[in-house]
Amino acid sequence: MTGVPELLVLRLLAGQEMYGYEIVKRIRLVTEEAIKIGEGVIYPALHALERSGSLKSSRKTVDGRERVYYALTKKGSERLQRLTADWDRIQNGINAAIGVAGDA
Amino acid sequence: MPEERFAALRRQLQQAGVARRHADRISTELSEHFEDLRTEAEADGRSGPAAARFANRCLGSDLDIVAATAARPELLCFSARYPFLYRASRPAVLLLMAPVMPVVNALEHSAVLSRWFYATLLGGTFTATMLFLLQLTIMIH
Repeated sequence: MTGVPELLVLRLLAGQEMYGYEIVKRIRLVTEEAIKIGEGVIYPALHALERSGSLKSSRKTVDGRERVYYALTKKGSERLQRLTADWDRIQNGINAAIGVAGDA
Repeated sequence: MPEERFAALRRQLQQAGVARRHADRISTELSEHFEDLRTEAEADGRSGPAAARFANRCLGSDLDIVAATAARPELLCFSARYPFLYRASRPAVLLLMAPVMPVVNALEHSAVLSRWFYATLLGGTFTATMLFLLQLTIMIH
């Protein structure tokens, strides 16, 4: 998962630790369902981010249910900053291109 | 049945070359996610089977999940990630492991081996005692 979904996951986890279902629900909510990701494919993405050291996981029992919580690491924060900067650059580039196209 | 679906998914992930620990964890987390979706759907007024169908639909197809996982090299096992290196090094590794494997197996099956040892010892002691008594009987007469 390179790009937008990765950026969203890292951004959401920057605020607080969450489990998979919570992350998917929050993405739906904050993007007003503009971005729909297959709920099942979030886990390979989370595992890959964990393997790269951007996330760490811990198993917790909450309300009698066992869940795997994901939290951002220092490396993950650095990655989030890089991805945010990349996103800003792309967004500015596209806005500029749209502006040029609109002026023409 | 959801349990059967996630057990089958675990097997499919492993067949696609996903490392066992990731295959196990992904299927466990998906089954927990399924339960959350089903609970949410039932709370919204859906019946049991309809809630399960909704949860299955939200999770997506097993093929998509397997494809998304197998597309990440960091989640694959060594043999799937480096197939050429694995095949090339396998004879040498097996040769190196040949003298070690009997010891490892013996340690793994130490309980069976100790039972076998004591049974043999008991049988041997019994036979020796019988032979001794026979010899003693022959000598007395």
